[in-house]
Amino acid sequence: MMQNSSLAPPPATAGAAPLPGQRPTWLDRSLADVPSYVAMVAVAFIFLTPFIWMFLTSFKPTVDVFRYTTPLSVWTFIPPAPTLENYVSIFTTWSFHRDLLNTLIAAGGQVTGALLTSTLAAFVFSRMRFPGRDVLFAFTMLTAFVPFDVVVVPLYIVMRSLGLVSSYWALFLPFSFSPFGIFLMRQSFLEIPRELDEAATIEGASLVQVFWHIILPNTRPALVTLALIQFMWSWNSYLWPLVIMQDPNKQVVQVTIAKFRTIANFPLFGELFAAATAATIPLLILFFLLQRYYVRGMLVSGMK
Amino acid sequence: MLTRRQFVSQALLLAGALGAAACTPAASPAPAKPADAKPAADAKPAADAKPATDAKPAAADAKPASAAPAAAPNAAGKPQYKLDLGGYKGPAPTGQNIKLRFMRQSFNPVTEAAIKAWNAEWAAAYPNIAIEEEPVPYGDLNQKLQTYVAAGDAPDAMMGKGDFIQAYVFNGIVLNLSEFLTDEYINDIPPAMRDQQSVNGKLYGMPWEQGQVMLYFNKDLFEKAGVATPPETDDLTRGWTWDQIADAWTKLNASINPGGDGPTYTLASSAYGNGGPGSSYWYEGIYTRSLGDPNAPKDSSAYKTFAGVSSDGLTATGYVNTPEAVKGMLLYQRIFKEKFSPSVATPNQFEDGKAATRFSSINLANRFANPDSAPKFKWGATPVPRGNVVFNHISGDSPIIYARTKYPAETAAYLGFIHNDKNRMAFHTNWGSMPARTSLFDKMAGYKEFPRSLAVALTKVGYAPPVTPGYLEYFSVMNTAIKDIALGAAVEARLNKAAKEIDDLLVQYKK
Repeated sequence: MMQNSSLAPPPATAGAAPLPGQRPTWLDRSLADVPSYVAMVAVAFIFLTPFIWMFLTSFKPTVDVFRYTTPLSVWTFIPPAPTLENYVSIFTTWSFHRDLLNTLIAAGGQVTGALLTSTLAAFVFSRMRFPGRDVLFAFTMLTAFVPFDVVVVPLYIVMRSLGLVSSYWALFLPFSFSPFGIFLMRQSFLEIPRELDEAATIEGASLVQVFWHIILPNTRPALVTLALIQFMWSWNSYLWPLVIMQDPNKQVVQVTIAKFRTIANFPLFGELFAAATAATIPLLILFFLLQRYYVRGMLVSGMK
Repeated sequence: MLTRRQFVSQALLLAGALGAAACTPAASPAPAKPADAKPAADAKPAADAKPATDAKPAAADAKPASAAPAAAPNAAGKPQYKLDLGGYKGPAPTGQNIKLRFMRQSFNPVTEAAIKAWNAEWAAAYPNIAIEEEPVPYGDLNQKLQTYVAAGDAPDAMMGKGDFIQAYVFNGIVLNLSEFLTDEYINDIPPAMRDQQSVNGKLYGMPWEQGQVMLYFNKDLFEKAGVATPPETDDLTRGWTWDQIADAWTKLNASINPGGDGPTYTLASSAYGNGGPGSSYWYEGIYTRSLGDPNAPKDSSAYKTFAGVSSDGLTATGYVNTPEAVKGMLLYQRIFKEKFSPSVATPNQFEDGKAATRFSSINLANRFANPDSAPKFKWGATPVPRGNVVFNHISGDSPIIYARTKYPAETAAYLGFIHNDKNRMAFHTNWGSMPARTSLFDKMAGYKEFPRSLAVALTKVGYAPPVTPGYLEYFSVMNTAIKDIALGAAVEARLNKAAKEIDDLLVQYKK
């Protein structure tokens, strides 16, 4: 059917405000988005600059690291004489790959433990009714507010009693129970309608089956969020590995990086930046791979 | 979606949790005492002192391995050892299989190689005594030491710090080393350092190296500014005064840093402690204590300024806030007020040719002597500026033996071994620091030549940090106060406040 041209709106002039009833053109929409893009680019620049500087500086020899910081010039960022010597040094002289592996083991253990305990505890707190449940939950949350410095010594004594000092277990076992994780998962579980559980129960599903087949698949974003956060916490932890790990062959990256910073009179700035870059890359890769789950997890678990 | 009722009940629960958490006791800043260990009585500056060795081993049935029969003594009456154990004079190390833990800082690769070599030598001679080393980032040594001690699980030997020996002794953390070391060895330690690491005449720390503060300068920048350089001399009487260096800094700054914002500064950012302003009392204390006088009457302000704390180690008021101390801190404040130095820690300024002067130890000259790290400018060194006296805080890292070790003799033997002449020489050659033994100066190349001769001269005017069992607290409070002063706090009021804070913290050490 031919369109009645008299009823058709006149074509919009590019850039001009659309008339009432007119749909904005792509250009109108683009121009309207300019302030948002500018703001986002500015924020991205602020956040990314240190990382870019760190990455580029890791290719400078130690003597050049701070030589060009002031006055600000292109050489502040770009290595005048790029070299891979820092990476060669950390992966040969310092065996940094071993520390990366140790950190990966610790982070993997912490993620596994936290996912297991958080989901099970959250299931109980969100799906079961029993006297004192909310009080118990409050006490569980209470542990999140105790400064870690206060519990370092008692925790060390517990680990020693278990004979776990200087073992991989000691790196992640104390953090396999996470009040934050329980809270996050409980919030996610509460978002799932109980009718789903009930329907499954009527069909003959056991409690374990409800947990495994109904609850967990519906909270995948929150699980990924928890895994990512736990991984990040473990990867960046410093004080606990410093205290509990006596075997230098099982030490984690953050402690090794601190060694590069504090060897007096022998600056290892090049190695420091290379190690920091090498330690950051796994986190960035993980975040880029899982970011959409992370954002969704934050949204659906009421953590926003 | 939360209902209002759910929201209110959860908010109340959360508030309850927060309230309860707020009641959690905060960690005490005081040094931890070993779990159920008796404090070493002789730690207290008392006449009836009991030796720290009275501290019982953790396990009631733990018998020192050194109770095993010792080897036959040699002609000199000293047992025969399988290795050169340096100044160690105790019983021969056990033949039982034992493990010794030693916590120390990490070093650079060449120094670590030297340490590995001497550990291999030890393992060959005493394969039954395994050494388990625990390298820790340097800045975390003290924290880790305190955590270990609080948990009652400290390594047999730990790298302590000379400054804190008094505190270690007071808290019963360390063993008296005098029983295990020859008089000859103990007397070889420079007197100021020996005194610092002793309590009631007993040695508790084995000085590893010694630091000193000298002033380095960039001749090219002085020349560019048309300012005369300080004398390059090891004659301490010919060094500049604080007034002279302040005058030179003012002239330099007008020329090389007229805007005050760099990139070239008159004085490099401090590389001590955490760097920058208020970095470490070990360095900044020189500004005040050098204006005191150790030879003045004991009740004079000049003497009290020098002492930094009362003779019983329990009072800071009237010692850290004297008129002389205020004057010293006013000069220190000028450094940042007039932008001689940046107010944030900036690494490597002097080495990169972006600072005209820098305070550092002989390690820097030793580093510059290496062609790989030689600077691209002409440099010189001069004594630390003097007030009433030329003043250095003499100190350094010092291995200590944990009071509750099961193997005191073996641990002392191992420390004796790593402190023997050969191993010390290997260490200092690689690391570049200065030995804490007078006899080793003669053996080390270049210590009779400038600038190393200046380092030797400075050790003779080295003084211990203020002698107090609460030096950990003293150090912490003073660092914070000095940082505040650097960033513009009213000097006298801030020192008064610091003095009171220290007094309040030292109360716990009163009998």
